[in-house]
Amino acid sequence: MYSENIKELVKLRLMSTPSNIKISIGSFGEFSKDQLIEEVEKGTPVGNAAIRMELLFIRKMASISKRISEQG
Amino acid sequence: MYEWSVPVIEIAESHGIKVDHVDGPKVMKSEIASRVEKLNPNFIFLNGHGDSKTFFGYRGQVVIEIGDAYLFKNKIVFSRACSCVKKLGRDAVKNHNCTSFIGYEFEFVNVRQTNVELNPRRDEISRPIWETSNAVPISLIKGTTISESIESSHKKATKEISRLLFSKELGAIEVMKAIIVNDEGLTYHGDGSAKIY
Repeated sequence: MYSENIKELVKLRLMSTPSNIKISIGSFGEFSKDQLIEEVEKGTPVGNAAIRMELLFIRKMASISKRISEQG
Repeated sequence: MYEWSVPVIEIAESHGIKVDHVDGPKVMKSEIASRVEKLNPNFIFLNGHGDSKTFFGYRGQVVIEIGDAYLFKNKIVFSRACSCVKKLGRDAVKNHNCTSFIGYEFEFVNVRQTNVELNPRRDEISRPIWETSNAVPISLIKGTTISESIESSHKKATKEISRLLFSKELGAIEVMKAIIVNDEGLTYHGDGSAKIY
């Protein structure tokens, strides 16, 4: 579903996640950094959800910055 | 997840609102249907797991599915359960005169510290995520419209993101991502000018 380049980008970003936190993605459950990296590598539905999150985060940063400056 | 609905219950009660909360093994279809029919609440807050057509209860049992959407007639619903707003919420409004159905279009994302598992409300990492979501029901309790309650959550999201952008807190980036994803998915069907009372 996602290209290898996108997967690599997301894996690199996930690597900076602290090891002592867990991320819960709705009804998929809760995952550590290493588990999410593995799911992304395998292209599972969880991995794809993690990629969607990461891409949405990147895409939304511009409009979020605008909102922050408007809201003061 | 229940722990983070407690502040909403407390604020509702402080506003003189009678709260009937159901959790644990009682979150099953017959119990919920019976309570909704008997008590006829103005506002229903669903807090748990879901998919686009279903809200799940205790041990993953189906509690409310499309065929049960009649329970939401003339009610305002806030669903903090993944994707319920997409089909269940739309159907409730379109076919069963639900006043308004607010919810999250995508997976609801949370981040937590691994060492506070038994006491979620002590988890300062996840606090901004839940407080941003709680802004919707708290705002409704304080008398705003559906649209205003959503705007209130958007504002809280912006405030938290703005703080987290420059924060060195553990997991700040991950919490920010969760808030952005949840905020992006927050939407409603029905009457945006409705209030719970």
